[in-house]
Amino acid sequence: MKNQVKSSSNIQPIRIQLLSSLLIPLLILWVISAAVAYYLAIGFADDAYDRELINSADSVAARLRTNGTKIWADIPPAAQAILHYNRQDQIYYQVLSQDGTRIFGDAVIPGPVTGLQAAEPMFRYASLEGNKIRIARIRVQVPDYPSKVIFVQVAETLHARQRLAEQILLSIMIPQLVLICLGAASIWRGITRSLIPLKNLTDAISKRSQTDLTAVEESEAPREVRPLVTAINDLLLRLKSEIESQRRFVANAAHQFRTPLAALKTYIYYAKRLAENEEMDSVLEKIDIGTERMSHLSNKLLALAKAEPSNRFDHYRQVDLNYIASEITASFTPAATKKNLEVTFSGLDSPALIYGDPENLAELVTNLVENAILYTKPGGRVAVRIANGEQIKLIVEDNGTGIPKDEREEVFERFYRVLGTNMPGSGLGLPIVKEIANSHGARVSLEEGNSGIGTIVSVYFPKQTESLANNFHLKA
Amino acid sequence: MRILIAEDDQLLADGLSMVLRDNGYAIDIAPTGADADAALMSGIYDLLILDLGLPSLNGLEILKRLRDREQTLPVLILTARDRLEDRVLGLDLGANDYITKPFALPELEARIRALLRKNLWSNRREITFGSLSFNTASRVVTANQQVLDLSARELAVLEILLQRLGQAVNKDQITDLVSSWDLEVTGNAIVIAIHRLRKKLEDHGITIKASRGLGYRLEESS
Ligand SMILES: Nc1ncnc2c1ncn2[C@@H]1O[C@H](COP(=O)(O)OP(=O)(O)OP(=O)(O)O)[C@@H](O)[C@H]1O
Ligand SMILES: [Mg+2]
Repeated sequence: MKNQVKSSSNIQPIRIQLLSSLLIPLLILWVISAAVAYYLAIGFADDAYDRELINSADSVAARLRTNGTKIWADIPPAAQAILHYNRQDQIYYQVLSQDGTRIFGDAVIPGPVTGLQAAEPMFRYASLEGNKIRIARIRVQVPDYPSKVIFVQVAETLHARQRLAEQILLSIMIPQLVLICLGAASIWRGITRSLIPLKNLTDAISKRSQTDLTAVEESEAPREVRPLVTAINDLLLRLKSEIESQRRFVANAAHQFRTPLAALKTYIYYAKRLAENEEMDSVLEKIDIGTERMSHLSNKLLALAKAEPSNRFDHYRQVDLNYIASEITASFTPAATKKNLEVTFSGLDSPALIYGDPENLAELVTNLVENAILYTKPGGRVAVRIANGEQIKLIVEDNGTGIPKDEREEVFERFYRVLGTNMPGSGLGLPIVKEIANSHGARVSLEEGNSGIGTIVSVYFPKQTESLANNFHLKA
Repeated sequence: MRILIAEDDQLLADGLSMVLRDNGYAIDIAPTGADADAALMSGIYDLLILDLGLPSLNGLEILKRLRDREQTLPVLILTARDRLEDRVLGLDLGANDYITKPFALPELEARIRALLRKNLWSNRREITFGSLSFNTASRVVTANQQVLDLSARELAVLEILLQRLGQAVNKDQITDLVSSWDLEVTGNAIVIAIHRLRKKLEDHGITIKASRGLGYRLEESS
């Protein structure tokens, strides 16, 4: 049973399902936590750098000088350079008068200047030449003129802050991501590991032959899967009993034919005794032939039902194929003599031991010899041989009509008969042979006889040692 | 010679009894196991034809009871089952032969003859009495190498007398042996058969002597 069931597209594999139902919320959480962390990191960075910005403003304020009317800052050029190029950021400063007009310093810091009454340092964001900047303003009393108030404004671009915020963010997010990945990997492994029994189960079932309907081992399945295994076993059991009852039905039907057929034959026989003229005789003869065919058919149906797999192994034991084949062949000598055929048998010197059901094996030989005798013209010969080799071979050879090459497979199909043989038969003989061979692990081959005349049927039986026999039994 | 057919299929049982009566046997039919068992207790049968699949009491059980009663009549099993085990089981339980349905009638007849011969004639092929000779296999009677043309009833009576050579058999015994439940043979019919037999045998120096109170027996008429 190779054809895989196509998994319907909207059902994900369990592994993906489990993983995605864990990972998706985790990743969403991770993104949210990134947003929160970023917001907090910006806050931390601002706190830190705003303090420094105030420091810068303070140092500008400390450098302020005045002569009563004029105010200036005494910042040496080196310090100015340092001030302007503090780390990665551009720094600007400005000194504003009490009403907010610029007294001196970099003119580029944008307005508006509001909230001049507040005593606390003021911070705000603004934009300068396309860059965001942070502006801090402190209130300063002019040295020597305590009643006079001015403002120092310092601004800087945001590179350092951003860098810090990013560093904070990364130092939180990367470990988290690593953690999530490690978690996913171990979940994946865990799921895979716990799915191994399921895979073993699948392998065990898919490796089976179509006739093997024994229960699946339940103890190896994880508890969650056990109901499924139980359900499968239940189905197997029902299937088995269904097949068994089908087979029994055929066997019973064939049996049921036997008694009325026996009665019919009895009356025909009696009628023949009573018959007083030839016409009546010939009519009775025809009825007799018809009845005979029906008996034949019911016997073959029964043999086929007996050969079918569910009946296997009940009657198996070690048997000598030599003995069976010679007995059966001998039983055909009257028929062969009547048809003027030469029937020979040659067996092995030692017993040809195989493991099997003696009655079915006898049935197999019967069907082959019967065919050979039926489909060989008077004067022909039929040879039955047992040969030893890697396998034990049963060969039934005749020099009869032969089977056309392109029908050598079809003749093993039930009820198939080669047209134009004009011989009575039901077309079940070779199917019975095939069925019995299969259940014995044997292979059947059909070839034309030597020099293209007649038929050679060979059945290759595995040699049966004791251990092999046990093995065979266990597999059943 | 009286045969019991234990077979539940009436069509087959009737057909068989027609054929076998035609051969000169007295036939009774038991359609159930219980009937067969009861009939066998009378001990009057020379042969039992037994179907294994009987209602109310199966064939193997009948066979077992029969042998437990130490009745030795031959039993021919007639069945639709043909697995080796069934056959072996039947034979182990004391059946003498086995034939599967559907069978060829000549074969059945031959087996019945063989069984009867074995039992009644202790396997002797030929019984001779004076110029009379009876082939136990073919059931053909010859006198002085000449085949006697006997009716079924006459043959049956002669067989009974030949089985009990030197011994007188009374009319009732003969009547019992040749009649069956549905075919009551009257004493008169026996007398007629014996009369006819006498006629046919007298040319060959054999007579059937009747002794009052004892019955009939074969004698050479010197
Ligand atoms: N030895 C043979 N020689 C020639 N033809 C054969 C031989 N064996 C089988 N065949 C052909 O194969 C066909 C199928 O054989 P198979 O034994 O299955 O059925 P059958 O003989 O027709 O009927 P059945 O065996 O049921 O009575 C036959 O009809 C016959 O034509
Ligand atoms: Mg055939």
